[in-house]
Amino acid sequence: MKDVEKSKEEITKDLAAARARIRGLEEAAAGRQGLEEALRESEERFRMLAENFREALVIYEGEGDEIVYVNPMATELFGLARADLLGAGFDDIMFKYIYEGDRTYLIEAKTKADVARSAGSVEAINLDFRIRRADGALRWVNLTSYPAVVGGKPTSKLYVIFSDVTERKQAERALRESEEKFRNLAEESPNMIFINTKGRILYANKKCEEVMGYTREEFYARGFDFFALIAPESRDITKRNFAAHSQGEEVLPLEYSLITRTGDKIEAVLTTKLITYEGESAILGIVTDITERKRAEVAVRASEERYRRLVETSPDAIVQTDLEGKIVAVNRQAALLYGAEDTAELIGKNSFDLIEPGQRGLAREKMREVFEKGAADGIEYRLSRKDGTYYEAGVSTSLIRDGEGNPSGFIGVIRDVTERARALKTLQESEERYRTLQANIPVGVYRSTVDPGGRVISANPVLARMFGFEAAGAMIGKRVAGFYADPAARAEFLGALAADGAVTDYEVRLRRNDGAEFWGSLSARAVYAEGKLAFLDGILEDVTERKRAEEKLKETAEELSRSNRELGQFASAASHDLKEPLRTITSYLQLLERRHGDQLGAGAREFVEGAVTGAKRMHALIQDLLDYSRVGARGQPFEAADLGAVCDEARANLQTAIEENEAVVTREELPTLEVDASQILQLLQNLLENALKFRAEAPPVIRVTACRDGPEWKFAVSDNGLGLAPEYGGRIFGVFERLHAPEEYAGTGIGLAICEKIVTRHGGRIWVESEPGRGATFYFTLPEGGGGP
Amino acid sequence: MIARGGSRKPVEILLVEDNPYDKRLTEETVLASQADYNVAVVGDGVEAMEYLRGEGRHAGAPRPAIIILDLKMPRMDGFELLSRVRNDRSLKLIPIVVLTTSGSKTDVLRAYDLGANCYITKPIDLHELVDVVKMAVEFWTKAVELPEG
Repeated sequence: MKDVEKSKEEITKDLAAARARIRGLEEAAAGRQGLEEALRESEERFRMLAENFREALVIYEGEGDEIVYVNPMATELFGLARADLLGAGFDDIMFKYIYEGDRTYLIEAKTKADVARSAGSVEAINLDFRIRRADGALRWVNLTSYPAVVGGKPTSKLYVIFSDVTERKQAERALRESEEKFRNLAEESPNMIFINTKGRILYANKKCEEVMGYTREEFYARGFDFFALIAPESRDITKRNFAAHSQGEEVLPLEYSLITRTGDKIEAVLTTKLITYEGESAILGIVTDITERKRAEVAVRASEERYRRLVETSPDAIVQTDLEGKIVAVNRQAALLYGAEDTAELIGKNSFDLIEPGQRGLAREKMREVFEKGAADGIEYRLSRKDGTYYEAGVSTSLIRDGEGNPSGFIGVIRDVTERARALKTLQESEERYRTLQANIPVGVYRSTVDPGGRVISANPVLARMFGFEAAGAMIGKRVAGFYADPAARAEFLGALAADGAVTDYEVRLRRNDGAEFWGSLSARAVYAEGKLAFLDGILEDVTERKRAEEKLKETAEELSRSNRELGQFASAASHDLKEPLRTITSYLQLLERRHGDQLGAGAREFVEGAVTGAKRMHALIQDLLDYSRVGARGQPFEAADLGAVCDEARANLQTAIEENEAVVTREELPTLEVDASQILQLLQNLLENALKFRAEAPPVIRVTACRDGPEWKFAVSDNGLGLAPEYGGRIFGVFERLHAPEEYAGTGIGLAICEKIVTRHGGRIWVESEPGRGATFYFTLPEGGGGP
Repeated sequence: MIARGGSRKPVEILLVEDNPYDKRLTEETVLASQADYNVAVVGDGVEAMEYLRGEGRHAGAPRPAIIILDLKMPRMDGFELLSRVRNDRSLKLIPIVVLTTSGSKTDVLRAYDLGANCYITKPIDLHELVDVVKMAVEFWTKAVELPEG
């Protein structure tokens, strides 16, 4: 564009010089100097000038505007020989060489010029149009034509200068196009673009309007304060930058803040360039709104911070590796899991080396899968710790990509599932046990609905067998109430279940499929769904046998109780009703003797006495039998008793007999044991009495001792009495067993039988060791801890 | 034996006994032999109460100085009678001697709980019976001092 401008200036200068010379020549001619020499010389000089003129010069003359002169530049311009042009008229040129589109316009201009010239105008005319050269090429030309002036009036002679302005025109067009492009670009730019000079805005694009909230009219108005758009803190630096620009310096892009019409702050980057705009030095500014980017940067930083915290505080170990599996980053948890002091200990290790050797093949396969699919979840590996031990781990792996989307490594999230694995194993075992149990235990297991009728949801084979079904499946869907012998029992059972959530050992009569009834013990637990009682899980035990046994036991107990009552009644009868007639017999016999004794003979009195003696003996036997039966039935509870004191009491009870027999009764230290003290008293008293009764000639010496014998105590009551033959040792403890006739020794023979019964009740044994004439020793044992009744 | 002269009013004795043989024995051997004993005999507790309150055919019956009581009787037994007498303000101070065949510990305990003054199991020997009954009656009617009932 500069070149074009300069060439235009040059042409103007050249033309001015040429015009001056022509005027000089004309004035000389008009001055009628008539000097042919001068004329020739002048023409020669003109010809030289014209011939060497850098623009095309054509001189027309006459009515038909016939070409009388062309200079070489003109022949070159049109691409014709001088001969082709000389003598040609305007019209010839016009129709031959002027571009078709410009002909009308040119003819109008010529006509106008001719009219003006006829009216005496000497004004030059200047036109741009296109010519078609002889070779067909189109050229833009600028035509300047002057009429030759003689005496201040135009003549028919015309000097026409053609300048080839094709290049200028092209440059102008390029400029226009360029400017249009710039505008288009600037208008559509997502950035704000402005041109500014000396604080005035010359151009602002559409984006400036949109973002800043001012119209272009407002931007361009005189007095609009450009710096008002810039935030106060950014004004100084912006001014410094503009000042530097005006000194011709380039400046670096500037990050600054703008304030919109509504007061919003916009973070922006301003890139400026010094340009010439409409002939003036100006600043082209491109503003990039980075508010969003800034916001995004903050968001990214926050996101990264969150990510970092997440990784650091994760309860799971997180390991990042490169594509080869080499560890590049780990969190604290990963170090802890590995057993390392510091995360650095893991960096650089190959993650595959931490997997149990047997699983590495699988791990590599999974790694390839992650590479293809992007992620793999919950694969369980056995991973090694620093100390070489292994733990069960659940590993989830993801592929990571770099900023360009290319795979760059892996991230693994590792959780120690040793406990979980153990729990799972335990659960599996437990479930297995449950299944085995359910299949094998002899109890029915079922689930049913809880509506009044009830439906069987599931049942095990045992339950099915209990109710007489072939298979468990046959019970599914059956009405539960139908299995109850009394349907009201099910309502009661459900009521208890609803109240307590569970029922244990509910005994009920149930009905088999074939109608037979049996006793069942039901235990059930309510199962809730969405807060409502949904169904029940129950187990059923067939307790028919138990019930039968219980009933049998109850019957036996009742029988025993009845038997005891009967025994009691017998005892009562024996003590009262049996003895009373005996007493009546003896009393009346004695009354007979008393009132009528003198009337009876000696023989009759003897008979009465015999009858009385017999009745009295029978009375005694009844009493003894009663005592014997009471050892078991009327025993007292066992309590700790000092047997030394018990022995002393027995001795005291027998004091009279001891004195009468001049006997010596001694005892050693006796233990304290849990016994029925009243019975042990009777035991010792009976044994002492026995020793006194069966005495020898010498005064009786009786000794009571005791010694520990394993878990029991062995007592001995030894005497220096008659003794007895060993073959009788077993017999003497029988009821009413006697070794002597009643006439020899008083007593019914119940004493030792009672002793045996008492010792047996205490869990001990009794026996005698003796030889005739060498005394006897009665032994009995009592357990240390009390034998219990 | 304590004797306090023959001029005195006879001692009124109420014998409550259902067994006719025992009734006879007691009367014959123990009581009838003594001039100053006047024995009334009733067969059960119900009749005994009528006698004590002077009701029915027992109207005007004298208040006994002692009651000799068997336990086993029809209609109202000895325990029930013991309880009634001890809960009757006008009768509760009359000494009661239980004379029975039963030697049951339970019966002994129960009789004393209900307020019997003494409990005698009838001995099988007639001579012993005579001695013990005489002793008891004389003790309660002659030896002891009782408040005026």
